[in-house]
Amino acid sequence: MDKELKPVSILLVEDSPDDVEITRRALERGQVKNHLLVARDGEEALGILYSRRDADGALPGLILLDLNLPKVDGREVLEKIKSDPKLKRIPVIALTSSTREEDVIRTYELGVNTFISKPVKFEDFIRVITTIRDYWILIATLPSVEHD
Amino acid sequence: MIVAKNDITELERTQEALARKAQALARANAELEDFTYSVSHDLKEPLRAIEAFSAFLAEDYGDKLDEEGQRYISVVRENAVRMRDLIEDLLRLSRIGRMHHGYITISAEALVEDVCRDLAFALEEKKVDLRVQPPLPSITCDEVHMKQVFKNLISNAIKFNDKPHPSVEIACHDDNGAYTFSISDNGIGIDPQYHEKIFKIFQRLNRREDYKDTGVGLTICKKVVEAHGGAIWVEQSQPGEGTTFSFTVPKEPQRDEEAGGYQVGQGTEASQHPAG
Repeated sequence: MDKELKPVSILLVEDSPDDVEITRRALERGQVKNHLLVARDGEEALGILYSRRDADGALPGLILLDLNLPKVDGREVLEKIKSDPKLKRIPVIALTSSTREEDVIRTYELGVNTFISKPVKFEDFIRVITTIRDYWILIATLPSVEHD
Repeated sequence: MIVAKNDITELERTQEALARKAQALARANAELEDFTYSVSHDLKEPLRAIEAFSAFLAEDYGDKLDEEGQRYISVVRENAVRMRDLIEDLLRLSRIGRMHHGYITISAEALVEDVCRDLAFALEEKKVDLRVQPPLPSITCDEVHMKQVFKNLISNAIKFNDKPHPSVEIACHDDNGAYTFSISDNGIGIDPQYHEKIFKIFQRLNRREDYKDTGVGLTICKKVVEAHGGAIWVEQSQPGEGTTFSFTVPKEPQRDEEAGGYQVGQGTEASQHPAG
């Protein structure tokens, strides 16, 4: 399988260093190869995406986005990604501690591909991360992120 | 005539004062529930980090630690789990006040079946002999909250049970204006001196190493049952002779706006809480 030969790069937008490390460790589990890029706030995330887009560099295959972020909020990042002709094809998974119905609806309206509430239980958190990775990398077909 | 007029003014004043007091009380109650929710919610994240990093410590450095060191890690992890259970129960308790799902008429039989599906693992593992004395009637209730009552009582019946084959019996009888449900088990029983105390929050009767419990479940049951205008109690029993919990559900339950702690039209939890 091609997918296994070529690691998919994942952009994680998360301000909590603890959650970054938990997510990194979760992604390292199992056989699915991936390359993790981390942005610690919305501004940094958009910086990475725009510079790669403008340089015609390889864009991340998948974005894991926390909604409550310093500087530029996750919703705004989502809105910018989904209104950019080149970035909008990248699947965005919202990972948040919110369980509010209006957050779920609003985020889907902004074009998120999946909305996930972070489980408190550490084992569940790990399982959710590895399941997201396996689903998007092994089961789903991702759009090409190379420059056209 | 003049005296009567004065009386009326006096009465109006008293009624106004009473209405103001009631409003202030409702506001204080709502604030307290917001507070509980925020505290519980904000405690979740640091707790996940404690759990995660103690697990990583065990994974990466477990073999470098002696027995004592490994035990310390497992104490940290067990306590993190205990705290998580407590927080989740507190969140559940505060949701009873915050979340309003509306009353619907639903078959109690179906509600119990639903609960049994949720508890399937525990029922199977402990080889529980569960009997429902049919037919359970239809009741008008907040389905989500009432399900929690059945779930807590049935899981208590299984949990506080030292018999090789726990038995749980669910019955119901019609008392004119209300249905009385009872959940009986052959478990460890409850000393009569604690029959009222057990409904208090964080009240536990057993040592932690014997029975894991947060002491919130029955408080939730009482809050839900009373919000519906019913009552909950323990039937006379002795330690070792099993326990029967009974509760009533009025056929025409109190509407939410009359019940303490309920807020009408609040469809979502944590409306003041920022997402994160």
